[in-house]
Amino acid sequence: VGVEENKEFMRRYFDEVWRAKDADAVDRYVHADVLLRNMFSEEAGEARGNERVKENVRMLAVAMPGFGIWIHDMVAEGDRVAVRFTADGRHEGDLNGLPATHRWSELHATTVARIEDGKIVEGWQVSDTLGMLHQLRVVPERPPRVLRWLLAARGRFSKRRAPAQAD
Amino acid sequence: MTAADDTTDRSTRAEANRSLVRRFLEELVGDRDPSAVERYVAADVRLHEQLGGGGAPGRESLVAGQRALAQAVPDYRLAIEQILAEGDKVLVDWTVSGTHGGELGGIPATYRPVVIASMTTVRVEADRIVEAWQITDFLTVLQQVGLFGTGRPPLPIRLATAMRGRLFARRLARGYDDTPEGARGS
Repeated sequence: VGVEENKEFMRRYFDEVWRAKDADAVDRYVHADVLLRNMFSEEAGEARGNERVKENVRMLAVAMPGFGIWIHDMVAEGDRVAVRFTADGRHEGDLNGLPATHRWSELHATTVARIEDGKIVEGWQVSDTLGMLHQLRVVPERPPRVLRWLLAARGRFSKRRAPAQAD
Repeated sequence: MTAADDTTDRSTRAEANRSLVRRFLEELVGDRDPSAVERYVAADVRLHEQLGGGGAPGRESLVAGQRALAQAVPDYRLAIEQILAEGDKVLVDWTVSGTHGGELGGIPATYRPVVIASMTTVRVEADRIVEAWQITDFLTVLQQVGLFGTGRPPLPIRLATAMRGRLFARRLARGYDDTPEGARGS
């Protein structure tokens, strides 16, 4: 399978799963035991299984029912394809526990997929989720002063407790 | 030139571009050598996404970014996780990890360990980086320093967000629109 076929595969995956918000289409593109790195996990780390992908398609369909997804660029080599994209839309429902802000936002991200026998078997993603939270006005661009003071105080305490690590 | 020659030419160029981008990252970020921008980056480089903020010209803003990183995480180490090359483009998946020992985006030092993950797409022309796009996961960094939890937001935040959301929905209903010019989504 050549890189052009893999890029075409990723275009169809974005269209049929994400643009169509169709969780049932995930099985056609993502291996049941896919290894997801830094992607959809509650914190940076690994997760296994395409159920996580399906959950996220369903969640986005509720959180941003009109969202669009736009591929800007792809870089493919061997069995891997990198996709640089944005997803945008209005936040109108529960988003990972965050109630609707009704604000418009745009998420920038780059994802790398490794494709084996016509399925994504491994995925890496880096997203500017903080930028999205800024646009939704959930997180201020700069932490408030009182929080900065608290963090500074806690930092001095941590430094005293672990000077070897801190210096 | 035959099609086979053209393919060989493309892959040779991709290989040269990959090695150029790897050396650039290892010298500027890994070795903390600001002069790397003069060797690898075009003077009129165009920067996008999370690169090139602050209005400084391209090369200077790349140097400023490295300097800010060195101030925030003085003991950082660079790791290139994967690097893909095709035609004139290179994609680098990389991280820096270390101790949060200085101001980071307005947050004073917490002395906690952080891993900052980025994906950078680079376009190379005539052995110089002429354009770059970068996404960095700063939310995970804020979680690592303890500014955010990783699960659902706490109840007071959820309540306040729900209330502000309803107020904003009313403004929208009265005809206010926050959709940016040229936005393609709904």
